[in-house]
Amino acid sequence: MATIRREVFIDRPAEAAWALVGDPAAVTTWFPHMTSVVVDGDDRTIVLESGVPLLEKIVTQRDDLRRFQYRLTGPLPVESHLGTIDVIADGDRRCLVVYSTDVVPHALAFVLDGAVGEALAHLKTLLESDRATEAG
Amino acid sequence: MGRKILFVTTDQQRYDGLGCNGGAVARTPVVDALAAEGVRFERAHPQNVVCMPSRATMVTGQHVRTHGVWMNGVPLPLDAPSVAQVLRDAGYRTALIGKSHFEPFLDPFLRFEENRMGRDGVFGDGSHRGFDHMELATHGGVGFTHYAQWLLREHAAHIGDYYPVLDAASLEVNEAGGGDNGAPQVKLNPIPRELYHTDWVAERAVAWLESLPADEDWFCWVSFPDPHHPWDPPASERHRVDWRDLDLPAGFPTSREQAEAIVDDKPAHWRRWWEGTLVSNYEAPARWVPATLTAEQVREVNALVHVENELVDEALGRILRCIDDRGWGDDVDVVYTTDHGEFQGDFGFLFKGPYHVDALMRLPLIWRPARSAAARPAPTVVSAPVGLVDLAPTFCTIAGVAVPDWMEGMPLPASPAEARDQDRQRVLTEWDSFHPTGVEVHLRTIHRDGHTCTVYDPGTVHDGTEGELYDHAEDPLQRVNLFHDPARRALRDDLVADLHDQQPAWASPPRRAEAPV
Repeated sequence: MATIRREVFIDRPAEAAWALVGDPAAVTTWFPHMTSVVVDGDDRTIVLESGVPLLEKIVTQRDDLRRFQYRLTGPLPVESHLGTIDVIADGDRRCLVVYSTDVVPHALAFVLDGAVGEALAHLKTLLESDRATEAG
Repeated sequence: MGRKILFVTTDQQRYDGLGCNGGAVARTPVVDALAAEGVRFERAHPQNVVCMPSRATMVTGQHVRTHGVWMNGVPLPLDAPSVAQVLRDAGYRTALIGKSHFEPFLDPFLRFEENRMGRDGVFGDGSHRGFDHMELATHGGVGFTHYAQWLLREHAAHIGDYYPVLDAASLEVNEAGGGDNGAPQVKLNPIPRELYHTDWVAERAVAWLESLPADEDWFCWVSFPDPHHPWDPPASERHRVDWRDLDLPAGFPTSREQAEAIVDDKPAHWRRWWEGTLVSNYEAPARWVPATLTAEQVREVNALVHVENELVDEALGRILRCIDDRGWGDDVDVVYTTDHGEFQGDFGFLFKGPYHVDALMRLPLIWRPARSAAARPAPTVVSAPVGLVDLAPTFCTIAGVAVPDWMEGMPLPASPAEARDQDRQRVLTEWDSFHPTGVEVHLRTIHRDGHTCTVYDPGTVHDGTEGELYDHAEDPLQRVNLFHDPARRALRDDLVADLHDQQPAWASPPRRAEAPV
């Protein structure tokens, strides 16, 4: 099992980050290289720009904890996977987003880690530019 | 008009794979003729023994610590400096045809520009790393490269002809055996030769060259994916070398006892990989155990490598004929090298990894200066140490442009006398790897005065006291590790001090790998 983690501080309230991260249908707005998402109950299907689909099972969606968890089930060769995104308030105006991934096979860890790193950077830019827009 | 530059690279090719370097099996008359007419280097080392770091060094002219591509899977930043951009700014047309590998291949999210170019059928406009034209390929028929997309579009029935480099279930390097002896990464490939990536690279290079105006100056990097594994040349060509006719390489242990003695004389990761108890990287099949390698498997792999080397040589000949036909024959500098070597049976191993020995570090490097060059050097052999870090400054010098401050090498010497003038004493190589299981390995190596000395930084396998020291004159097979020999202590300490003095500092904190390959 490979365990990886990425995190980012965002100068926005935790509620603002959770509004995106906690909505399984909103993933394409903040996670780059995704073209479509369909949520059907606990099932989420994402199609990447490459044409590769990601089939996922939503495990946890807790507003009180601001925790979202999902399992990637295919068609990438996943033996086991758990993605966990926690949004943690750091005062009223800042939050920490922690994205953890446990995955087998190992080789996917690097791939997912790179994509997650890019996604968190994009999430920060998106939310903080929203703040600038609101301030303006 | 200035001097045009044909930069030819292979992938994972040993020094002794060429006739001009003493190779006695593969017929390589084209590159042998270049060597006979130019400068042949006897001690050229990469600055890292895997593809992405080594190729990043070629295009930037920088050591690994400066460009920051410290292992496969770490992408070269889009704003990294590029010798192609320098030449383009000087008026050259620039192309890279074949394997680039500045960015990871395993990319389901399609995050990397070179993969996007292949998938979208885009060839560039100079905005990506300074290349006007990029037409990319790698070791098989699957993926986003231009070659794979062409094969999918035009010859889809042949995609499955190739050996699958990665195991589809684990995404690890595939250990499945094939051929006559069950060697890993060997397959009888039914693909017609004209569809094989070596010939495709030559064809696309010729097409680009033929598209240029006659008075254009150009820099064309032709990058053949072979003879890197998988060892699956077109079946129609396998008759060229029958593995049954081959001798075993001198470096292959003659018995299990000898193999054990060899690896036990070296730092612990040698023994642990050999017996299959350590996986530290993605450069070899994780489930393949080197101790199981048979003499027959080595001979078959080597036969296939020889076949692939012959095909590359013939493809290069095709490109040179095109250049002659265009009337450029006297105006082209040709530089031929590879990114790193391959064990091919030495010490009882295949593939590559954190092992700084000649099998992986001593590279073919040939420079045939343009016949029309004002100060054309006489054919010669340079035995002073040089590195791939010296290529980019060489290209600048050929083009008559100043070597930028950010390049860290020196222009290659055109003679032994020039090597002395440049005070060429040493060449450095390093390895860093991190495996998702937590295994870390770190090697720092200097080659100087006929010795190769490696020290190990602390990791999960080494405590930092380990080392290797080989005297190439006494021990060309590097079987006797002198690192802890009291009689060599002074030499060792001097080499280690020199290594530490010469190593550049890390330019920035190491970036994370974003794919295994």
